[in-house]
Amino acid sequence: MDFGVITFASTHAAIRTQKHLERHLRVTMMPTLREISQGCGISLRFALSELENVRRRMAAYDLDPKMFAIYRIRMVQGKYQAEQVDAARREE
Amino acid sequence: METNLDARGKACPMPVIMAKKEMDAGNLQFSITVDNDIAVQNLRRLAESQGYQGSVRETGGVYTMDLHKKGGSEPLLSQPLQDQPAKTAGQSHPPRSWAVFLGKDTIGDGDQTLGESLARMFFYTLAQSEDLPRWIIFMNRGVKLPALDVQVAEHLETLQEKGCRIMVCGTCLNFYGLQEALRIGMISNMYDITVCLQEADKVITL
Repeated sequence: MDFGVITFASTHAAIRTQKHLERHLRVTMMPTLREISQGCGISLRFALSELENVRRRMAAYDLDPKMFAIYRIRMVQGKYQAEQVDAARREE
Repeated sequence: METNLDARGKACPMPVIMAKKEMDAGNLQFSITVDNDIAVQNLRRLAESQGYQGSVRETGGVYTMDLHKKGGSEPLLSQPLQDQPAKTAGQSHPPRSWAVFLGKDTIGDGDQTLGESLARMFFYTLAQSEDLPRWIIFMNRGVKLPALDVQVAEHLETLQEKGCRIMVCGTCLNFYGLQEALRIGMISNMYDITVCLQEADKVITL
């Protein structure tokens, strides 16, 4: 099943963002996929139907765009494939 | 004369406790009658862990398990057990049994928020895994996870659907005033939990 994830440059940013986003949409905390980073990290998973909502909210959220990235995750032949999605621009 | 224990109508874990008592008393050959399949499974695990061989007869929902110590001095004219592997394969849990024990609502000590986040991610990862524990046991502050953490409760639901038994200490829920808040799992007691810990091939404490 395809889904979206937001990854973060710091665990503090991940925890803070979860508290913010879960007031508006359903996000699930998960370990960052090995396909994205070998390092230990916290990601937030969301349904792809919420992708635009997430892009918009992350653009409006008080977090440096360098501190996070949004990915679309697909399962291809039993393996995850991650494709980065641009965050919405701040002006949008 | 061979002992026959009647454990019909006895709630888990009484049949196991009765059989264990008999084994501890050095009885190498006895039988026990129970009235549900779960008790049979529990007894099978007990027998295996204690070096006993067991065969089961069923008549109209009543199961009688004949047990004898493997290599004991009075080998029983044992019935063939060829139906056993098929039964094991049909169960929803892997034959190797292990347990996860949480005595707090975090993984590790340190920052509370980080510990809660690690617990959420642990259960997310576990729920996606193929090798699942047979039991997940929550005690003391650990009961807050199945009671109060929505995300952990969702993962536990997935794990329960896959055959894990979620056991939550009733005394602890009562202490924290969380009986009504419990979202998932079976309210359990020290007897059940101790038997699970004794039966598990390994216990991972977080």
